[in-house]
Amino acid sequence: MLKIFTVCPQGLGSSLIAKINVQKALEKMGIEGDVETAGVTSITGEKFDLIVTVPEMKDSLERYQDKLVFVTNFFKRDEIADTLEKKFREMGLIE
Amino acid sequence: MKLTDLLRPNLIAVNVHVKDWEDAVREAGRLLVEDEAVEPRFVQAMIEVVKEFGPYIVLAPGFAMPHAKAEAGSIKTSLSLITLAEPVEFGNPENDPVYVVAALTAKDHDEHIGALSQLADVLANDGVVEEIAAAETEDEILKIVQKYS
Repeated sequence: MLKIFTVCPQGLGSSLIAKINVQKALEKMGIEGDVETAGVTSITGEKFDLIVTVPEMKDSLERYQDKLVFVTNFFKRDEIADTLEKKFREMGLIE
Repeated sequence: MKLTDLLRPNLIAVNVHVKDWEDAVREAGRLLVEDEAVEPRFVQAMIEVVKEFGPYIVLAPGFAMPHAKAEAGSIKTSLSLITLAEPVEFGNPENDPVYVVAALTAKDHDEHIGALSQLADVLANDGVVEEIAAAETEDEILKIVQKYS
């Protein structure tokens, strides 16, 4: 099962909306995943496959750059699903 | 909690005149203060979040969701929603200009999950932000929200 964090500066509003839509996208793709919201500091030391976040977080999350996916429209579920699928393929997580 | 538990009729205002994004956040925040959903200091905290972290709160074209941590003065989990008479720029290259602003305050980490999930369902519909922006009355906005949730 994939472990995904949705990260925003406060880990409260945007990351929660992202989590909801990432879960929907995973369901649609038939991929099992555990999605959790987090602030930037709370993922230190955690094990995960992917971070879904906003472009503003790029610098703060630089050390995880291979695992980052950026979302600019939080409500376009198809777009989020496409972006995730592309990244999963890139990472060899799906065929 | 359901979305309509958070977004109560007195927390909605249409065609609000604002001069810039800070003013827009202030107006959405004012509804929360008047409802005693937040302490007055919460409003400034929402503005500071954008100044510190950037305009990431513009979650989709035309739609901003300012919020701040519970410790900034949240009293009860609530959502206010205003539509702007004239759109404003938040500085978000993808999603400016903004014409719908929904200010969120959450008393704890979990209470608002159900309601936000419903909000995500509402806003996942194409054109719904425009539909909300075009509403002439508070009641119309509630009806749009109910229609999609």
